[in-house]
Amino acid sequence: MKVPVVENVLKLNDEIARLNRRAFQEAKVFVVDLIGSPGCGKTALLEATLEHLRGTIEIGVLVGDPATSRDGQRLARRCAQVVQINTGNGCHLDANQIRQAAARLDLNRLDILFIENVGNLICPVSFDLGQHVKVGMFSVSEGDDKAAKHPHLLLVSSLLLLNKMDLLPHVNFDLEHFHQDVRCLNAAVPLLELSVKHGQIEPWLNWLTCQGQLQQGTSRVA
Amino acid sequence: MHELSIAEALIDLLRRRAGPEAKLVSVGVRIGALQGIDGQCLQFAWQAALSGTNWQDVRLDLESAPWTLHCPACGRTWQPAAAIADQTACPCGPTPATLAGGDELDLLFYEVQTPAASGVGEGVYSSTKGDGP
Repeated sequence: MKVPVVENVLKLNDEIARLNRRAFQEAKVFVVDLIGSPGCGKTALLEATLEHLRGTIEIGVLVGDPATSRDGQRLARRCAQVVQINTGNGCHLDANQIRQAAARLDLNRLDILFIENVGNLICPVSFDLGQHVKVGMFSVSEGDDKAAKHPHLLLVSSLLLLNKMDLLPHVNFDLEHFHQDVRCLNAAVPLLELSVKHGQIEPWLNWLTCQGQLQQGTSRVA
Repeated sequence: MHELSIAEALIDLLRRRAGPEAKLVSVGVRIGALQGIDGQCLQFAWQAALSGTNWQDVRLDLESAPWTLHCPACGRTWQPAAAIADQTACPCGPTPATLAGGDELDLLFYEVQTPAASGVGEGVYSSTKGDGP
């Protein structure tokens, strides 16, 4: 006897994600899920962001890695509210991990919460964490075909970042080709070019400030 | 590892929907092309996750759903041959296409032993167990 169901396999994850989202909204904290390959510069970007926005807004970070607390330690030098999540063999963060880690933060004191996902362009895309936006991050040293090869990330991202622009003269990366792939998959998504190592992150800071204010506005209305 | 998480989430969902003691025969799942899930990996993860449990012989039937796009400008809906960037533009103009399918990850059905067949099934199960070490 067949029993029809038609229910999302990740329903349990999505239910917890909804609880997270509600908690984030009540605390009026803007939550960014940062997704990118290992080594594309996610932690360095957050370090630079914390440095630039110090004293203006309160930032917290949940950082996921299979092992070690190295990223957590790096970020903790610049940020009071950091929780390192070790996923073991897990290739992504799920809503329950975020729920447990966020319980260790004082959300009411935060304006922005970054979730630095496990370095991976595939699995993190499928898991709703309760974030407001997913941001996809690439770097020129990975090659210009990475956007086209990961269409799901392109489609769910509210913003794309292309890092290590300073390396462009030294690597095989056709910038026009990359832009073309991005436009084909998601014509609406903004794409910002950064060089985190050289402190060139102004477009990202501007975007973040705008989004954060927008979010604060809407959560007050709601 | 992604597939193992999916298999575990699927088993959790089935335990809630069908009950942990349900005599399952098969389970149907639909996977969209964008989910990045490999069918063989998921089959392997399913077996690994259920090995040694009362559901270890439950068959996993996978159905794939193609990447489907919709053009809001002309209303056309189509399925690109592959989830790659150069097949996403609609010939009608520059309006970006929206996603109309391909991100599914759905439990479609589960099949349980019917009461009449149940006795037979249980007999087979217990004799198989009896033959074990």
